[in-house]
Amino acid sequence: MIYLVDDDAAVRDALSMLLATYGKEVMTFPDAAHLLAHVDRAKPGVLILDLRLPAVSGLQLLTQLSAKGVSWPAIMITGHGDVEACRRAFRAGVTDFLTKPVDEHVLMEAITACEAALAEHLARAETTALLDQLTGREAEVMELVSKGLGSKEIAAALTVSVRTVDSHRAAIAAKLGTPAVAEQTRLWLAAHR
Amino acid sequence: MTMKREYRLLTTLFAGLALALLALVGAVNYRSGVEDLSRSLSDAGTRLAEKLAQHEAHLTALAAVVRMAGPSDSVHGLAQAIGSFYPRIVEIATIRIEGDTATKVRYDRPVQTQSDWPDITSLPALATPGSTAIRSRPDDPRYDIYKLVSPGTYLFMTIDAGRLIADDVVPENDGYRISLGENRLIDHPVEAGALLHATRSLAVNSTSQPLRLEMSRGFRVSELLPPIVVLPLLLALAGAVRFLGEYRRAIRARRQEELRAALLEQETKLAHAGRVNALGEMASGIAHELAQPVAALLSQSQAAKRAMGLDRADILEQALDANVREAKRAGDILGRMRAYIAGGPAQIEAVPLERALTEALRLAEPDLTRRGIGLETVVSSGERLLRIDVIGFQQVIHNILRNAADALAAQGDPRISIRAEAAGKQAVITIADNGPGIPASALPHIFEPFFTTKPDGMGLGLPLSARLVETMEGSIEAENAGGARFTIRLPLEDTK
Repeated sequence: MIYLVDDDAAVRDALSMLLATYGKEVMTFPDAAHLLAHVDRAKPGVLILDLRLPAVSGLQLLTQLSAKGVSWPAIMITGHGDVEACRRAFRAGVTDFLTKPVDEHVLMEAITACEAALAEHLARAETTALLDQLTGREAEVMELVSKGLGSKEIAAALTVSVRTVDSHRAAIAAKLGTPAVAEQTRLWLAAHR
Repeated sequence: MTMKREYRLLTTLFAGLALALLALVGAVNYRSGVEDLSRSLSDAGTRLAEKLAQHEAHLTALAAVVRMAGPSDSVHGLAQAIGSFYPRIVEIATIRIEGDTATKVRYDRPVQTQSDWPDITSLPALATPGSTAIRSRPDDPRYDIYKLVSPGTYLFMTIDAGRLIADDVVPENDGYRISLGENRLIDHPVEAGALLHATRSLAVNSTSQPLRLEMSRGFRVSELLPPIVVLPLLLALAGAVRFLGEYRRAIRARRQEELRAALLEQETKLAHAGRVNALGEMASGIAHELAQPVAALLSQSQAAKRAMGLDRADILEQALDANVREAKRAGDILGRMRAYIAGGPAQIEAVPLERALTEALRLAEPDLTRRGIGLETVVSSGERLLRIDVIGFQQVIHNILRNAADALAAQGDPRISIRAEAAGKQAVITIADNGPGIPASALPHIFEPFFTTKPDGMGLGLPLSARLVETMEGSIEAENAGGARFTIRLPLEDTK
């Protein structure tokens, strides 16, 4: 999914036409207000924003989206990109900064990169959600598991019984959906990198 | 200064000067009147003193005759002569005192003798023969002179003060008064109805009859300010004040003219400097405005190329249509730039009002529809002929509609209403939107080049529109009325 915001109707039409030939699903908006009103968190996507928009600029829009909990990868495009605008855009966390007219291949590369970032972002968000289910004690146990400690060593480190550690580990396996220590460790490290 | 203030100033000036002038004329007339009064008084005093001296002379003569001859025919003759010559001497008599009784003998008429004269106690006490005393009575114009001829013998003479002043001595209308001590013998008041009064008095030069003469004069308005003097003066003054006003106006008009010329020169210089400075800005603006259609062209063309590979003729056609539109748009932008820079001459032709508007709207309608903006158009007298440069007119309408559409971007139920009607020799076209209106701080500047409130605006749309309308001998103005409202006035062809 691609969310495209540009106040120029012709540019919106042209870009969505081009993206359609790549089989992309595109939603277009003339300004920030329309995007904020229609953005669907259940449908994550790549943001393509014009830097200069009426009322609210592309950069301000990014901030407002963050406040709503939407922090998807974004490509900023502009009619005339000066260095300062570019710097500010990257500081605000955009993935790419392109100037109009935007070449097809450059655009598609940027979108591909964004889609990968989005996938990673979503995966991490998913992992984080799984790990968030752990209780404080379970998280402590999981941390030690990820460091390669066995149940006995963990029990000693936490000064609890081995049985208690084992029951925590059973709960962790149930919540993370896998009894495999390697998979559990991968998830933990992915979230705590 | 406004004409009203100017008028008030001149009126005040005139009133002030007129009052001062009137006061001056009045004061001069009053002063000369008072001087004349003093002169008349002095003359009258001298004439009166002469008359009083005559009384003394008669008394002296009579006393001599009485002393020498005693009461006799000689006294009678003299007294009768005096009485008939001088009507103001109303009685001449002798009073003799013999013991406790007095006898009064009157001589000015057939001799009358009154024995046991009753007023013996009221006789003035005179010790030295030849000395005199004078008596008056309240509310009586007459006074009496007593002269002691010899011990026990008095001469008595009564004068009617009412006959002392002849008509020709005191000027007509003046008042006069003769008094003796406390008593007023004669009181001839000044006529009523005067604005100012002046009174002068003198003691008449006579030792035997110490009369006081007083004269008064009243001054009427017509005397103080005689119209024959005042009117020409006022007219001359009014003329002078008016001339002064005209002179000041002329001076001011010339100064304003100079100021205007100086301002115009400065403006021309500034405009030139502004143009030079603006070149860089303009280049940046052109780049930005062209970026949009070029961006669209590139993406569409690339989409078209891919559509061919995908064998999607529908997308190909759509892309090519869009390319044509965007290429035209880029051309329009360049055309507007050229028109702005060159300011080419208008190609004026006569077009029916309704057709001109319909053609201009046709260009903008697809964009408005796409943006979901409702357009309402009411044209009356649509058959009247508008004198316009068709291309220029279309650009003006297009620019205003584009601004309105941009302003309506965040508006619920966005609408644009266009009204066109004939008003005399002009067509009045109003374009109103229901958007947020033009910010009050921006309103005075929207027709200035490079002034813009849009993040990607160039600030040339409205200045160009204003210039185009002016080349068509029309006018354009903007105001806020609900949303923004633009009013364009353009000349209509005479209906014949």
